[in-house]
Amino acid sequence: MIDKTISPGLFITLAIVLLGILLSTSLLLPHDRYYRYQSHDNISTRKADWIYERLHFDETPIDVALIGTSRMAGGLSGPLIQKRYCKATGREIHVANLAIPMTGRNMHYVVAKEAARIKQPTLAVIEINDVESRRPHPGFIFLADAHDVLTAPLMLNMNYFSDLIRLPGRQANLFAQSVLGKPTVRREFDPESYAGSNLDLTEIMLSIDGQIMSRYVYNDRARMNAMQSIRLENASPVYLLPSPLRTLEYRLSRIYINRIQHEITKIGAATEYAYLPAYGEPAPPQAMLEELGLNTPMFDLGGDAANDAAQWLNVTHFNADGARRASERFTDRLIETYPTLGQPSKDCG
Amino acid sequence: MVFSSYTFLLVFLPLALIGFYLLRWRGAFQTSVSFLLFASFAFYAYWSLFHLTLLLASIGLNFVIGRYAATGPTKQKRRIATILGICTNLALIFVFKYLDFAATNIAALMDSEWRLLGLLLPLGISFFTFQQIAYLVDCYTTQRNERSLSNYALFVSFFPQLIAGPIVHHEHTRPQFANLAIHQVDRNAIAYGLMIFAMGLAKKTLIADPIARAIDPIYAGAAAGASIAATDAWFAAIGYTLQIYFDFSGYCDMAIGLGLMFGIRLPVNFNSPYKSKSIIEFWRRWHITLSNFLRDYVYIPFGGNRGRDIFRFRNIFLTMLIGGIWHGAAWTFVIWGAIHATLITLNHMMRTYAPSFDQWNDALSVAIKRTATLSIVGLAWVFFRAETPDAAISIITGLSAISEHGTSIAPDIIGLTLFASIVALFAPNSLEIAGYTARLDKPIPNSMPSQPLSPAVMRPTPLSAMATAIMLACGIAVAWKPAVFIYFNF
Repeated sequence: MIDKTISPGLFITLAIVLLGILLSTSLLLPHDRYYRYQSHDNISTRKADWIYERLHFDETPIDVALIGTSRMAGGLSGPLIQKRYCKATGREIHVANLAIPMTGRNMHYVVAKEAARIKQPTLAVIEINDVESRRPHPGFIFLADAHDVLTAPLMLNMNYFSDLIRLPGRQANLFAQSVLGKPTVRREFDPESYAGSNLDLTEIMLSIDGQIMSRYVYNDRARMNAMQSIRLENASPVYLLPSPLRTLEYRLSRIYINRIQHEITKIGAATEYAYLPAYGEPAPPQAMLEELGLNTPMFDLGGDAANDAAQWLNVTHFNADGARRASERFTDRLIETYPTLGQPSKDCG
Repeated sequence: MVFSSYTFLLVFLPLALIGFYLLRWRGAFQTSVSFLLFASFAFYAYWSLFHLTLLLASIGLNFVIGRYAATGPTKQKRRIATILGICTNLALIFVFKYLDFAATNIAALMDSEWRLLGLLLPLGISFFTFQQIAYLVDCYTTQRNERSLSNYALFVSFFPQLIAGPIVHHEHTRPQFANLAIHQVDRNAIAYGLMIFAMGLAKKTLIADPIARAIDPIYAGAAAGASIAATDAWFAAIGYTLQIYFDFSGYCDMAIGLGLMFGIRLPVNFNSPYKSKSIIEFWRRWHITLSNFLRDYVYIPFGGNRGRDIFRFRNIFLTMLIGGIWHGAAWTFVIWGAIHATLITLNHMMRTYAPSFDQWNDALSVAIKRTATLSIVGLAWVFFRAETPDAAISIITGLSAISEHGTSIAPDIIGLTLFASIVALFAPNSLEIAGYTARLDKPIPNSMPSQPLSPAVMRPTPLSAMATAIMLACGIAVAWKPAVFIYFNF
């Protein structure tokens, strides 16, 4: 029966239908989620495996989850915030910097959702920049649940179709890796290679070729101004779309900010927004904040620091000194707004 | 847009097929051919709009010169037009592909410096210029030219063969495109096209790409000056021999499959070359259309078989050397071309002076000949793949090195390599399995040249539909980070 010659038309139809069934079925294939977080393994942006380990294998609770881009990853020091907060309030808190390099609100949603479901932090702090990226995060397809890829907003989501068509391949690959026990990095959680509860990237960073580099880098004002002018030449204005289409401009970010808030509110936690500036941009554009629906006061880490060349590694990232000072300002604001986080502590070392 | 990329597989190809057959379903056959031309331009423009303008200019110029070469008032004027056309094409390829290489080396010889132009190589330039050179020569010799600019443009830019061949003769596609504007496409051809395409995709993504990922670090290490352990050196040589086989044969299958899906039969370009008993036979099975081009448009104009043996051997050597340099502007390609030129010349000398050698065809002799041919071809591939001659030598010396280092190759890749070796050496190739023929007077399925139609030829059955779907699904699934076809670089 299955070896009986059929018409070419039936053959083509059958092959295409079977292909559709195979690709659709692959969406249901199970896999080890730890393997999935390891698949986002680009050297210079790799952090997802640590995030998974911090959330799933590390028993240390999380009081404050920091969610954002490389600006936050290298701009706020969890250990420094913990120490300063404890000294001021006598309370021990656990701050996890879950920020992952590159922009795209959909990635913040993935991380916020995972953190909310697994660690139930008391507070989630979401990063705001001076320019809101209209593009989704390129790593979304690596980390997001299949359901989140399928239900991603379609309108003006430049990666919607490419993510969608990569999904069957991802699912099949992760399934095969899980069955064969061949993850990109580690088969099982290894406490020896785990970077610890307090991964802090404010003093070091990884270059594209995997080299560890110091963030104690200092640029003079002239150099910073030159870098800033290049950035401004290429930066997007607040509005790219013509006025009749402006409601669509930040739609993707708005949807994901709402989804993040929904996930955080669901566990009874609070959400705050922290402005991580670029050099020469002391405050985010008000029009952009309004478009994002963020008219609430936020943790402002800009101000004078934005114009102080000595605090910058490059035009969008603090150097180690800038990060220390930003962490201090962040903590002061945290103490002011949330003075009773965590547990009382006798030793704030 | 690489054939194994998602953009091609799930966006471009379905849209091209739907548009093409929707127009034909509405009876707009001629428009469907124009649509195919438009799709081919879109395919090329996806890489670079600037390079599309270059392609269009090249098409326009060659079309005009071709007409003059065929219909010019005197033979001398037609000849001059043809030579001018050839020179223009060669100048184009020289500027984009060889100028930096040649000038840098000349400058080094003269102890001066050449500031690199760093021109981005237009994709497929080696293929579309050679195809058009062949067209100009054919116009001159046959005094026949293509009258329709759009048909000519489609002959040059038909997307399944535009980027990496096969190099097509105008006389092969002209009647087919003409037919396409009048007649229905044979549904049987579409079905077989899908099967062949699926086999090519599976070869590329399931075999060539994983092997490439395993051997790339070894070649990178060699280029960086690291000493290569013997096991790694062996794997680098064998792995690349298999990678390029499955990469190129996968590409050729995909090109032929795509052609069939649009009702066009492209020439066979690849016929189990690792089963060859000699270098001469290897070049009759590997990149067949390039070998034919070199024979017809380089070797014969050099003098071919005319004159004394010594001149014939010289012509053979120079032709093969040019074939090597055609692959790229680097000393590694020059060395690779020189190795093959030497070997093929020696092979022809043996045929001339020791003809009985060719008649040793008992099982043992055949096995020895095949092993020797494959070994030499495999060693030469190291130069083809390595980034510098030093890196190639480092790999080759590594083959005999005594090293305490273990291999870095994972067992599953070694298993895949073993499987790939068996397929390459002993299995029928995909065109034999599909019974493909480029001969327009023969139906598909048919037999490959010199082989009877095997009962194992794939037919459209539910089972083969399932196999096709599985190969396509696997190809799509593992195209997670698609790689570029090796021959796209030429």
